[in-house]
Formats: sequence, structure tokens, C-alpha cells
Amino acid sequence: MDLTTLAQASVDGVMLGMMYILIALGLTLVYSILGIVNFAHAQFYMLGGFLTWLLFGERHFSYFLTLIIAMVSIGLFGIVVERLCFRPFRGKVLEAFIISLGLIWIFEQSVLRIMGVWEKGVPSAFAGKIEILGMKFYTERLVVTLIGIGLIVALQFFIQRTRYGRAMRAIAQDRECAALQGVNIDLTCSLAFGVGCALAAAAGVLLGPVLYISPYMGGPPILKAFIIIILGGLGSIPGCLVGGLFLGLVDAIGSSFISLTAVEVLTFVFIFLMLLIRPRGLMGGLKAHG
Amino acid sequence: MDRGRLSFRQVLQFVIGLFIFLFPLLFSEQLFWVHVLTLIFIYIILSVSLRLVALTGLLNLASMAFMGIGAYASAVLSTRLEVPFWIAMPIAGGVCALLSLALGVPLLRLIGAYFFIGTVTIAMIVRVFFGNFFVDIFQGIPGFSPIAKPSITIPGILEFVLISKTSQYYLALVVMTISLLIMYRLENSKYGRAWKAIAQADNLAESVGVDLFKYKVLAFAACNFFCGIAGATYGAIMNIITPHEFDLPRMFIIVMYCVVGGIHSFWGAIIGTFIMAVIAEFLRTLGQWELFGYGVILVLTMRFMPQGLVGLVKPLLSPAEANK
Repeated sequence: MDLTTLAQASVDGVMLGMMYILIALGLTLVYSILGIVNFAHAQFYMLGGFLTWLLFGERHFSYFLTLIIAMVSIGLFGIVVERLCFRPFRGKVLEAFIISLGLIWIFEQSVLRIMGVWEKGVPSAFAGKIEILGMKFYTERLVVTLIGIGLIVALQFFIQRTRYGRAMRAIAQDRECAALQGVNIDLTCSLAFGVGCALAAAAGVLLGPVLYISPYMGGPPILKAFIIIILGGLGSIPGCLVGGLFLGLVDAIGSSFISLTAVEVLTFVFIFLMLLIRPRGLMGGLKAHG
Repeated sequence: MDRGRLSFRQVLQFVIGLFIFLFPLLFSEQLFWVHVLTLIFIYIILSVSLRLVALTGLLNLASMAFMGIGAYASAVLSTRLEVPFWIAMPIAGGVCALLSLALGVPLLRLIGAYFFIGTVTIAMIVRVFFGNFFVDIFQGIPGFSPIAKPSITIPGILEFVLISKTSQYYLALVVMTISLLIMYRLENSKYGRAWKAIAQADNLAESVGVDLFKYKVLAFAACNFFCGIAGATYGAIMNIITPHEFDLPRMFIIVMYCVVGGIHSFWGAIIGTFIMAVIAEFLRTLGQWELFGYGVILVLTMRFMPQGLVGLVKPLLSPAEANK
């Protein structure tokens, strides 16, 4: 095991971890406020990836403009989806699961038919390598990691300091009490869903140039996001951060030193054992919806 | 209802039953549809057994994985160890039931969404297991084939191997009928009532002495027993089983069957499976938008008729029941 490989794998791990966290944060936000698990969440990540390809790759928009356009448009799209599909099923895990199953098929297949089955590559936004302490790193991966951290900090600020963030925390604690205090439940639920989708879209834009874009790219990260949520506890933001970083590092370091299949099997076995010991995750949740 | 006079409903049931029983004899040259119906019978076992767990308000996303376990168990027993199919099939069901008792004890401590995710991890582990481990026994990713055919043997008198499409049709029909009878009895027994009570008000049910945990584990085991039976029959009919067949996409299709028919009703699961599987055959010939169509159907069903097709038909068949 040489030090350079380890350092490079760690940077990759932190980057992957940030992306997993961005997706898992959306899931956990939606769960604590709407009381549902949106299994179609990673499809918004996939849409973000395709917007990157369309705007940044084909039309040559600037990278940051693409990021903003993708977050705003997919966030708004998420609000429409919440309004049309999820609104009657708040707090109903089974019904919402079935709806999100239908949405997965609709999103994946329509993108597949419109964009074609071929995987698409997006040119790198920040080409080249940078040298730190005699070790070479891809500039792109460092920048992507930094933007990811920035978004997470911004979300934390939004939830802790703003009016809408406070409304969300109030709803997560007690829906009826929040409503009695004059919190607009419908608006806050839409907003939470939209913010979640915007974060997933941001993950898509950030990872687009690093990975390939395909209609099925949502599959692996959603599983990772679930694992993170199990590790951290549904509805817990600190749990999400710890779980995401841990998983990203395990993935990157494990796949460069052992094999990827072995890492995946071990992860699932680990999760299963984890659930046996702590059925609500390491950090517990904000609130358990039955 | 007047005694001595047949209701519309009874006549309908009798005609449909007779039609299904005589189908391969009436349309003996339509082998494609005989085969499609054979598979539909197996899917009906799966979707009705899915309901056993759904009665308690949970969704067992590992039931396809248990179908795989049953299929592999029966295939290995009947092909490698030359156990007759009629013994291997119940053993396969038993293996699934025992395994799900063991796994169900930790799994059913998980609440709501955690249970869904827990069953998904089982499905992933099972796929990887049959694909990558013990390749000399399970033959890995290409799949296990050939599988010994079931046969009816009376020494010296009769030796009949179920190899024709028609005989497989009757095999699946008989297995389905027996499974449905047992599941119907189960649903209307003490256990079924407890499961329904859990879904409606678990705190209340617990306070009147229903052991929530025990009944949930039993529902899980019963569901997976029938999944194992279905898997064993499926393997014997298809002659090849691969790890990827028992993966999540097909699991989700079974969920769709149940939802479209009406997951809150015994007949809903059957009708939904039947209608959607027949529609699927036509969607397949129409074009590549098959899964897209499923998605739209699923969202619209959930949004505008959460009771499924049965919810629409029920008022027509018996007004009294609809008013309840």
C-alpha cells in the first residue's frame, strides 16, 4: 500500500462521500418533513446529470451557470411532482413507495427514449492536475469536493437560521403543533421536497464530468444513500454526514486496494448486521414515522 | 340472497373456473397463451402471498428473492440429489419458511421504511450469493440448467413426465389452486384477523393481547413459504433459473400487479395479476414503452383509485358489500 495511492483514493473517497451526502440529505429531509421515503429520489440526480450534458457539454454554458440552472429547474420540477403525486400520501410509507416506483419507471424510460441508450461523457470543467506535497491530484475532483462542502454548509445555514428552515424543523418535531403555531404545512412540504431535489440535481451536475451519464445512473447512488441513512438514522443530518463520508472512503479505498464486488457484498452484510444491533441507525432519527 | 337461485356472481365464478380448466384443451394449438397463463398462475401465487405481509401494513420486497431461494433449493434437490419433485417442492417451501423465520426475527423489529430497506438488502445479497458463490453447485451467473422435470410414476404401470406445455399448465394450476385455498383459509383464520388488526391499529391490537412481533414474523414466513413453492414450480417449468431473474425489477412488477388489482382485497391481487399480465403481453408487442406504461398505470392507480380495480368492480357485484 503506497502513500500516494492512499492519498488519491482518500480524495476520491471524500468526493464520493460528498455526492452520497448530497443525495442522502435530500432523502432524509423529505423523510423528516413528509414522512415518506422517496425511492425515486436518485432519478432527480440522473436528470441533473443529463442537464449538465445538455447545457454544459453540448451548448457550452459556463459550469456554474449550469449548476444554478439545474438546481433551480429540477427543484421546481420536484415541487410539481410533490404537488401532483405525493401530496395525498404524507406519512404513508407504503403508498408513497408504490408511487415512487411508478415515477422511477416513468423518468428512466422517458429519458432513455428521448436521449438514447448510449452513455454520454461530459468534458471536464477543470482539466489538469494539481500538485500538493509532491502528490498529484485531479483539480476537478478537488473543486467538486469543495462545491459539495459549500452546498452542505449552505443547507445547514438554511435549516438552522432561516424562517423556512425553522418551519421545517418544527414540522419534523410535531406536525400538529407546528400547524397550530401558523406554519404553512403544504408550502413547507413542497419547499422541503424541492430543496431535496435541487441537492440531488447538484450532485448530478457535480459528478457529471467525473462519471458517465446514463438513464440508469440513479441505481447505485440510491442504494448508497439508503445505506447512509441506515447508518445515520432516517431524519438525522449529522448521521448523514458521518455515514456518507465513511461510505465514500470505504468505497474508494476498498475498490483501489481490494475488489469492488467484495466491498459491495461486505457493505450489505455490514448493513444487515448493523440493523440487527441498532434498528434505528447509529445516531437515531429526528422522529420515527410508524 | 334467495336459496336455490344462483346469483350472477356464482354463475360468473363457475364460468371463469370452467374456462380456465378447459383452456389448454379448447385452444390446444395456442401454445404461447397456454404458457403465458402457466406463468400467470405462478405470479398469482406470488402476488397473493405478498398480500399476507401487506395485511400487516408492510411490503415484503424480498419475496422475489425467496422465490429464487425456493427455485434453487428445489432445482438442486431434484437434479443433483434426484429427489422427486413432489418432495423437493415442499422442502423448498420449508427451507424458505425456516430461513425467513431466522431472518424475520431481526427484520421485523425494523419499523416502516426501515423494513423496506432491510428486505431490499436481502434481495441484493441473494442475487450476489447465487451469482458469485458456490458456482459448482449453483452454476453462477449463466444460471442453473437443466432442471429435472417432475414426473408421475406408479411402478410398473405408469411413467408420465410433465414435459408438454399442457401438462405444465395443469401442474401450475393445481399448485396455484392448493396455495390459494390455504392462503384464503389463513387470511380468514385467527392469524389473518390478527394481521388485519395490526395494520389498522397496532397499539390497540397489542393492548388486547395480540403479540405483534410473533404475528408479523409468522406472516413473513407464510409469505415466503408460498414464494418458495412458486419458485420450485417455476424452475421445473422453465428448465433454467438465473440469479438475475429474481432481482428487484420483477419484484416491483409483482407489486404493481397487486396495486392495480387492489392490495386490500384477496381477489384484487388475483384479478390485478391476471389482467396486467395479459395487458403486458400486448404492451410488449406494441413497442418499447412497456415500463413507461407500467409507471403511468401505477401512479394513476395509486392517485385516483387506491382500492384498485376491485374497488371499481365491487359496487357492481354486490351493492351490500360496497355500502359497508
